[in-house]
Amino acid sequence: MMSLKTILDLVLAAGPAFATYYLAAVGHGIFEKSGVLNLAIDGVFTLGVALAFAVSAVYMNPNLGLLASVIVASAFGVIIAYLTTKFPTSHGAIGLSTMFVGYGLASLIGVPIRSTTPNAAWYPLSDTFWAEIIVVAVVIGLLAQYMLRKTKLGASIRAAGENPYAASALGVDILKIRLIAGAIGYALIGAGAALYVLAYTQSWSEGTGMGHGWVAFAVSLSAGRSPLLTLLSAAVFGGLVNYSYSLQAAANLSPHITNMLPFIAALAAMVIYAVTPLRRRLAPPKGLGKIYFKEERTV
Amino acid sequence: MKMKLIVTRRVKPLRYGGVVIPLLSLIIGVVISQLILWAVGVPPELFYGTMAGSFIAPEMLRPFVLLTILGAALLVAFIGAVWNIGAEGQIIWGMIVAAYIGVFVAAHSIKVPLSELPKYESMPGAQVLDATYGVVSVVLWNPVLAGLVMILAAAAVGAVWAAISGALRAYLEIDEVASTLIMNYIAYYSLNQLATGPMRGLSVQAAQFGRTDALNDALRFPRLPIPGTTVTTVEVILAVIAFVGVWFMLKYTSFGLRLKILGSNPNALKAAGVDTRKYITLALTLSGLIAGTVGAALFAGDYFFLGKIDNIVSPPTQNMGYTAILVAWLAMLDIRAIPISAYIIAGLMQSGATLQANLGTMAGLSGMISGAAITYTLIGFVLLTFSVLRVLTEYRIRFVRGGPK
Repeated sequence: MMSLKTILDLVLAAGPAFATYYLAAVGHGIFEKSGVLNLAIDGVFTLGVALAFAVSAVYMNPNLGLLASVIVASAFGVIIAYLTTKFPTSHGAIGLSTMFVGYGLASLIGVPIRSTTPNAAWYPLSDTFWAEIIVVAVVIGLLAQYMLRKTKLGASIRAAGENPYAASALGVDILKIRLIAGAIGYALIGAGAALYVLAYTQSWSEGTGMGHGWVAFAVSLSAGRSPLLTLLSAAVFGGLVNYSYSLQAAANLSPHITNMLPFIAALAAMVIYAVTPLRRRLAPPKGLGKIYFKEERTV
Repeated sequence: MKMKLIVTRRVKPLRYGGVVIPLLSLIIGVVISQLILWAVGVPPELFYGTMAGSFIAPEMLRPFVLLTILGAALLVAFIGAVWNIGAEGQIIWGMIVAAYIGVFVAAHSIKVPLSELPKYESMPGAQVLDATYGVVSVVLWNPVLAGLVMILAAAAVGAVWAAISGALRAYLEIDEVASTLIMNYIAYYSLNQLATGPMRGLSVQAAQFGRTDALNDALRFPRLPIPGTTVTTVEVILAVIAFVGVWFMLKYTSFGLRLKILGSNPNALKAAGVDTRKYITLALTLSGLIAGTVGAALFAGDYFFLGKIDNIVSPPTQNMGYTAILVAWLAMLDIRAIPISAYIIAGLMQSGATLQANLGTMAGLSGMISGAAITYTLIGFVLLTFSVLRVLTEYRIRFVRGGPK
């Protein structure tokens, strides 16, 4: 019989993986609620991971790494929101090209730093720290839920995503709202990315984090972009990723299979979500990814 | 005075926009990338020198040919507004199946006593892979048949892999961008699992590095007799078939027409009684089918074995599945422009590779900048510039003072 203490330890140890996916997925959800299709997530996530590592390695301070990742990611969110809303351009093209930019910059920044300082200052591997980030992540998620559901800003974000033309007619400044959603959403994605490397993997090499932005994407999608439901999907994915080594040993699986599992689970989650009644209740915003163009008068 | 940016629709599309915009994007994207690479220590003269040389280097013929195939493959999906970002995975599965046929079916490896090795050295169709372990590869099939089967099987498995995402999008409305991308990672790790597990070879290198045995010389695709290039005849033939086939399909068949309407006005297609779900699935399937053949080409024309991917940034596809997105987009989804676009992108890719090699000889920069990082940066900035500038073909962007609020 497992004691309560053991169970608590197991839950706490999954904290870094959970917080990574939860924060990034909540951020993704907020941004997409405003109607911008967010395909840049994996690139900016990978860049955030590299930046957090690089800054923490140079200044030997993980908090600075986290801060750098949050600020730069947030700036990317603002740029993506501006380009997709101000110009009648494809959200998919802007997102994917930004993803490539993120991959490229991540390598260019991380590799030279790693060659001189392979070890950054990581966050502590302690129960208290893990408990802290779980609590902070959950509080941020609940605040996001409150913001989206109960505040004027949240209502504007959702209106911008459902029908930007109608929202604009009612006096919502679509560009401004999406810029805010991009800034907040990507700040959280940056925070998740920083925790991924500074608290979870605690090592960086070229390519670290690649693909895990997509996992966060799937975590958010399978919970219908709701911060509250994302708690559940992030816990499942966090556990799966965190205990992949135990799983390897327990089920005698190869590392390649356990590396693959989060991606299979991500796909499975999307399928389950699509075939159950959840689909209608948690449908994507109607204006998601659609070009928003309002003819402006030039006089 | 406050400046305001105003976007208005053009009465007529920009003249020569189809040529000017891609070229301008290319120049701006390359310059931005150069400035960033300069910041991390790449001298500008080396960057532009390498780049200029790369566009006329015989080595770029191979990426040019492969990107033409892949550009045509992605175009089939993109023209139907189905976003196949999963060419990477489709190529990988093509490689896996081609390797299975090449190393286990059309030929196989056997372990022989070391004393019998001389006998195999002179035997036609047999090739000693490893003299210390006594591993010999014996050809069982006619090389032409083996090559054909490798390509067809790679095409089939690429099609199936893509069809999964296609069906998920068509019948369950699961976004194909996300599913094709996620499936790329599943394919990468599947390759690792298979190469280190069930398909691991007998030779000493195979045991050491976790890979299959090498493909028998007799089954390798013959190279084009041009010095400096590694492109094979088979790849050139595949490129011609893919290019002409897709061009013909789009121009002369009702399937092609419906695919185009699926991209521009799916509701009209539905109103005409066409099952759009079937066409969405077919668009991705056909796209994956063409992309899959590249897997066979990479295996039997370049690598000759299937090896574990050590760094997920650099899979054996050389990221061409992603690069080809840029080829299709830069061609503005016009099949006739695919070879031109493929040529330009192949030049950029070659620049990445050559630049990495040149940097390797420079003090302080050796191993600091990977070819993949350069290629990603170039693709990213060219594509980003293009995505924004493309607006100019149909819209006018102006700065005005003050402006309305």
